[in-house]
Amino acid sequence: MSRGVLFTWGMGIGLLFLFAVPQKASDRLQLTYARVFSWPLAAGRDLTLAAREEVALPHGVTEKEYRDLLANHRDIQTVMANLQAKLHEAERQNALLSHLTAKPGWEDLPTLLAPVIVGAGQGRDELIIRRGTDHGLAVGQFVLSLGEQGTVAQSESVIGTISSVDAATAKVRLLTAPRDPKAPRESGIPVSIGNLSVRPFLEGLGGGKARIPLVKVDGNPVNKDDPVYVQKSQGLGSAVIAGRVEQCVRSQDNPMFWDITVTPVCDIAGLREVAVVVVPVSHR
Amino acid sequence: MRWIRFAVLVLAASLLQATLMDVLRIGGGVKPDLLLILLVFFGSRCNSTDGVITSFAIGFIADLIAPIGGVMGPRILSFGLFGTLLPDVQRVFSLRRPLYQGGAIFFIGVLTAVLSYLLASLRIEGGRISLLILFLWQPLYSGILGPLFSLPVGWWMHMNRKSRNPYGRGPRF
Repeated sequence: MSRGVLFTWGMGIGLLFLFAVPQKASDRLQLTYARVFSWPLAAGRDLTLAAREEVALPHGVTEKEYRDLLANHRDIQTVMANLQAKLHEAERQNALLSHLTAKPGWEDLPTLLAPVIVGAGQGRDELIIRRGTDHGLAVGQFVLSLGEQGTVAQSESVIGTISSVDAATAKVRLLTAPRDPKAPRESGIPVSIGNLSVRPFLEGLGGGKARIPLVKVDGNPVNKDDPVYVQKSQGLGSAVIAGRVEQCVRSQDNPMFWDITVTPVCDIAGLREVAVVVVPVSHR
Repeated sequence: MRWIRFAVLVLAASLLQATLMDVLRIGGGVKPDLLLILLVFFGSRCNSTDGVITSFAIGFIADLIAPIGGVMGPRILSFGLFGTLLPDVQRVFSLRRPLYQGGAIFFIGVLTAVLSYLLASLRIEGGRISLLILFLWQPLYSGILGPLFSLPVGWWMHMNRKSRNPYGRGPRF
């Protein structure tokens, strides 16, 4: 075969590989080469690495012992890195809790941080958190938001209560969750607004809103943006804000009473972590 | 031409290139290209027909172990093209002389790298290939070390003895 014919054949094969052979087929060819020669390739690589890592061994230490020590060292480094991450997490949680307990009257507040694993939003009025009875949680305990996730000190607000709990997880019923029509009116959360003479209950309306019914108009001035506080109870050392008055109009059913709509002060959908007021049973 | 010895040699060179050549790595990952050295070796010592076959075969192996951007074909074409021209260069320059051989490795290395890169970029984006290493440092390093490999390769291929020039006349330089 002449030089010209061979050259044409070679160029044809090259162009075929470049333009006609699918990438998948080229990859398979390269992988086949690597598989067929896996042993010499691996041995060569080991040799190369060994040549690069070659160190003067201390007297009396064999190469095998040195390699074992090196492997142990790597394992210990991995364990240390994991412990370091845990330490950072514990330090972060301590910082959040110390913000919380720095408030006057909250020094002895037994709180527990809980990560949110299923958030609120899209018509959902509850959260699921990764803490349960194993961590001291019980139904009815208050759940607080941590402000902008703890970056601003003392900006906590009550967002709801524990509604059901198992060993490792718990459901948080938000203050805005609609009230069960069969439940007594007193099942709401006792709250206060400004200087009201009465202590009304907060009821959820759904859709991120709550209402305060049965507040007489006479002698009870309520204004838009007035803060709504959850009363000092169930472990709360002092009143804690829950929301603000969004709207306050006379009730259409009974004009003697206010129809007060409340919105929470924090963005519940964006919460990543909450604090649960873990009240011992005897305190409740 | 001893083709079985050639196949064993090219295969061994490909394995060495993928593994042990890392020992000779310098700078930001510059290592000699054994297959480029073999290309110039065979291009300068084979007759023109064998030179074509060896060039395309070495290009194929080069594409198999270190394809530019994962694409096969560019090195087959570039090695094949410039390897085929080498016997013609041998008529003018004696590529057996270490200096000319090193120079040829450098120039052929630059030319094959540029052509391979251009051909590969027809199929893929430029990617994160260091062009300075590909186009300059690797051919230069190969050109410096290349002549050292000629003796063992020539011994293995039984090509060290001075053979009669297949073109009748010796090179001018």
